[in-house]
Amino acid sequence: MLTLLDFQERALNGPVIKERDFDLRFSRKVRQLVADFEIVFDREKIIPDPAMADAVFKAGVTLLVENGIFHMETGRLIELSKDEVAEVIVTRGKEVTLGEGEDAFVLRARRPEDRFAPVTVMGPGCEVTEELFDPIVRSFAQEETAQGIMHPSVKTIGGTRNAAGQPAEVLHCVTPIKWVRRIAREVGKPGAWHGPVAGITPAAMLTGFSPEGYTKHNCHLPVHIWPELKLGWDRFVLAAYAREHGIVPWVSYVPLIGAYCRNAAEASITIIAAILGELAYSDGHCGSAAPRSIKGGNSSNRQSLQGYAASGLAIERNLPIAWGGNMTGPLAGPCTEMVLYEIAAMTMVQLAIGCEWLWGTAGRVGAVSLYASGMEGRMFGELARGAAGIHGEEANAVILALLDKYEDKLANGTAPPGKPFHECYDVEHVTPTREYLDIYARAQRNLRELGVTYGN
Amino acid sequence: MEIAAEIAEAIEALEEEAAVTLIRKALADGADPQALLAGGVEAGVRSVGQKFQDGDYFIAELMLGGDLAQQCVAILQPEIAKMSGAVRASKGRIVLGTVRGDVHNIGKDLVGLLLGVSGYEIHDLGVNVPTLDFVKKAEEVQADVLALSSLMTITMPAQGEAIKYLRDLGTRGKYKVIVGGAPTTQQWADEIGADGWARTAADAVPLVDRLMARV
Repeated sequence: MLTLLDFQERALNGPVIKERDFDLRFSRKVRQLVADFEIVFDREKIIPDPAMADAVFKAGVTLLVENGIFHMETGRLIELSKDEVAEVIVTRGKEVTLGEGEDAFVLRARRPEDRFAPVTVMGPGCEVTEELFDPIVRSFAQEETAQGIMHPSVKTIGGTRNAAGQPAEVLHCVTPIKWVRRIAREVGKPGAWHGPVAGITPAAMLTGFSPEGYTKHNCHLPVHIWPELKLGWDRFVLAAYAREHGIVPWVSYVPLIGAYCRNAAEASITIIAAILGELAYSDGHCGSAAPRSIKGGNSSNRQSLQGYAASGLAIERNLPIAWGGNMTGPLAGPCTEMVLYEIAAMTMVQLAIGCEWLWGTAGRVGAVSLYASGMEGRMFGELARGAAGIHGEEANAVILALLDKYEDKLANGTAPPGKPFHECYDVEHVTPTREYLDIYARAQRNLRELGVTYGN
Repeated sequence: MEIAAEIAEAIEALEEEAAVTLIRKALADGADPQALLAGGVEAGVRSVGQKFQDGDYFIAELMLGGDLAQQCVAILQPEIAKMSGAVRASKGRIVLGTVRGDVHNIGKDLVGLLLGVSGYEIHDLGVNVPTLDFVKKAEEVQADVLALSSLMTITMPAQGEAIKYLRDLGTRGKYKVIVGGAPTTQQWADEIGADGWARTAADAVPLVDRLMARV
C-alpha cells in the first residue's frame, strides 16, 4: 500500500523534468490516449455508453501510469506503477458519513436507475461581503433540500481583506466557519457539514479547527491536484493532517477545456488520472470534478457536460468512491432563466450517471462577488429529488433541449449577468423577490414540458 | 508560391522539419533573411495565434509554434546581423508570473505564449512568485511590462502589493504593470493602480501593444 512518505520519496528522487516539457508531454500523451482507446464523443450524445465510459477510465489509468504527476517545487515526476494504481482502485472508497447527529448524511453508492435522490449540499460559490454574509448563506441554508451548508469566502472582515500567507488569512479561516455554524443552528441544522476548509496555505487552514469552528465531522481538507496533473508539498501536508486526524479529504479536479486538454475526451481522461492520483496519497472516500471551458470559465457548455458525464460514469462504474457533481460553473447570473437551465443541465448529467452527491453553486462562474442565491441551490436540490432515476437517453434529450435554450449565449458572450443577491432577494426577510419567483416558476414549467419530473 | 509564404504555411501547420529546411534552402539560394523573418516566420506565428483565438489550435500548438519560431529565428538572426549589423529587436521585455500563494499556471502560460509569439521577450517566473522576485527580475532584465496573474480572490491583494512596493521604491514609473486572472476586473485594476487589465489571455496582446506604444 502506497503511503504519503512514498510520495515524498518520489517527489524528491523522481526523474527531473522541466515544467514546460511536462506540459507538452502531457498534452501529447492525452491526445495519443484518446486515439489509442478510440474515445469519440458524439455531439448529440452527452451521456456516453457504458463501454465508452470504461474506455475513458482505462485511458485515465494509463495516463497516470505513463505520464505521472509533476511536483512543482522539486521539478520532478512522481511516478506510479500500474500495479500501484490497480491497488488504489480496489482499496479506496466506502460509505462515508459527513456531518453530525440528525444532520449527518451518508454518501452511499447509487446506480443511475436508483430513485432515491443524491445528497445535495449548497452555499454561495462566490465571494461575499461581510454585511451580506448572513442573508446570502441563510438563503441557501434554509432551503429544505440543503443537507449541508457550504460557506463562501468573505471580501473583508472588519475591513481586512483576505491575503494568502498573511495573518489576514487566519482571520478569514477562523471567522466565516463560526458564522456559518451559527446560521446552521438558527435554521435547525446544527450538525450540518460545511464543505472544504477555507483558505489556501495549510497553516492558516488548520487554525480554523476548534470546537466552534471546523471539526473532523463538519468539513473536508482539500488535497487536490492542480490542473493539469501538478501538485506541491502543501497538498501532501494537508493529506497527512487529514489522515492523522480522521478528516475526510476533499478529492476534486477541475481541468480546463481549451488549454492543455483540448476537448471533453481529453478532460475526462485527465480527471480520472488526477482523481486516482489524489486517492493514492489521500485515502479518500469521495470526490467531484468540474471540467471548465477556458473561454468564459463555465462548466455548462456541451463539452464540459460531456466531460462531466464521461468521467463521472467512468468513476461510477469502476471506482467504489462516492462521486459528486460540482455545480459551481453556470455563466449566467442569478434571477435569470438561463442560470436555472444551466444548473438543470448539469444536474441532469449527474442524475443520469448515478452520482451520490451534488454541491454548489454560484452564477457568473463564481467569479463575481454576491452573484449567488438560494434559488440556484433550490433548482438542483429539487431536480435531484424529482428526477432521480431518470434514464440516460431521457436525460440526454432534456440536456440537448436545455443546451438549445442557452448554448448560443455561451458562445457569443451574451449570457445575461442577472442580479446580485441583494437585488433578487429581500435581504431583511431572506426571501426571493417576486421577479425571481416568477422566473423560477417559468423555468419549472419549461422543464416539465421537457418531460422532467420536478419537485420535492 | 514564394518561399516566405511556404515558410509561413509550414509554421502554421507546425511542420518543424519543413519550416527549418525551407529557411535553410532559401538562405542558400540567396533570399533576404529580413524578408524571410517578416513574411515567413512572423506571418506563420501570427497564423498560429489566430488559429488559437479561433479555437482551431490549443495551448500545446501554441507552445509548439513558439518553439518552432524560436528555432527559425535562431537560424535567421546571424544572417540578418551579417547584413545589417543589427539583431532582431523584441517588441518589449515582459516579466510574467502568478503571484504569491497562487499555483494556477494555465492562464499565465497562455498570456506568455501569446505575447511571445507576438514578438515580446518573455521572462516567466512561474507560479507562487513573491513580490520581491518580480521586482528583482524586472530590474535585472530592464523589463517594460510586469504581468501579474491571480486566480483566487485570496491572492489578488498580492497584485496590489507589488504595485504599491514599486511606488514606495520609487520605480513605479519604470514599468507598465498589467493584471489578470478570473476574479480580477477593470475596477480592481483601477483600484490598485495597475496600468491595464485583460479579461482573457488573447486580450493581453493588444493591451500590451497599446501600453508599449505609449512608452
